[in-house]
Amino acid sequence: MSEKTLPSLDNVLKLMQCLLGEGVQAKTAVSGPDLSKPFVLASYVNDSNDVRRVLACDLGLANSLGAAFSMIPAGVANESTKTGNVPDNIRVNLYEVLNVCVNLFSEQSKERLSLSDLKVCPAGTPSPALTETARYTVQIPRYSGGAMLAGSL
Amino acid sequence: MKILVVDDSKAMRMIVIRTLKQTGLANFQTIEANNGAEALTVIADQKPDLVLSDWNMPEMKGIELLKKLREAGNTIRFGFITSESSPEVRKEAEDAGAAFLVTKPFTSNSFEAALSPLLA
Repeated sequence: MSEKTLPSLDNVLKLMQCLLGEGVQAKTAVSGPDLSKPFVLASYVNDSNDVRRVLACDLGLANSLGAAFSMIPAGVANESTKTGNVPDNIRVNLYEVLNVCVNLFSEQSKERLSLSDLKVCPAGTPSPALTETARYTVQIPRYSGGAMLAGSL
Repeated sequence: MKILVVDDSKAMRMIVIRTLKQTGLANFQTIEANNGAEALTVIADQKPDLVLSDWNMPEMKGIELLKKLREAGNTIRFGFITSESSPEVRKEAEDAGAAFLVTKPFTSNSFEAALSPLLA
């Protein structure tokens, strides 16, 4: 794991608390999201449209982030996670959260980065080839939370 | 004071308005627009005192909105609230006549710091 291109735990925690409230907790983690199961992948590109950073969230965290952002009930998020999807009303808010998350990378990147894509990847999707990774768990009051991986290419 | 909040995310507009309420700003009302094009109409109709706009939006970006206002001779106070944070974007905003650029995520403190010079 490198501190050079990937966000510190403190920055992850501050950003999540700014967006979702002071009760959010974040910790570094050893395992991160299980990418053999469905997950959400956000890709951040430079001005040449090359993917430079990614954030991967397990479905529990993805649904929690999107739902908590606009106070969609936790039960809706949990049910979506059980059925293996991210419904449109949660996805639009998740996109906004992950768009703001570009600033997790901005300090460490000499390039201007922007969110280019958000995909819900089904089980069996090949994991992205990353040169550096950092893993976190994020817990949001009243929501299930889950695991997140930040990576650079 | 009437404040127009322009963002294509309804949830983000809600959070901007909630954060405004957490500042020391008193006696204000908020109105909303979904993008720059809609904001132009709202500004013409409702004449807000301040515009807080996202940068990247469908239909018309925030910077295009600001440029159109200034081209039309409208000197309304205007600030950006955006995930954009590069020096190039800040300069473009300043050159176009923005009073400030607050980067998302924001706090009530960052709002107060940006707004207080305008409201003094």
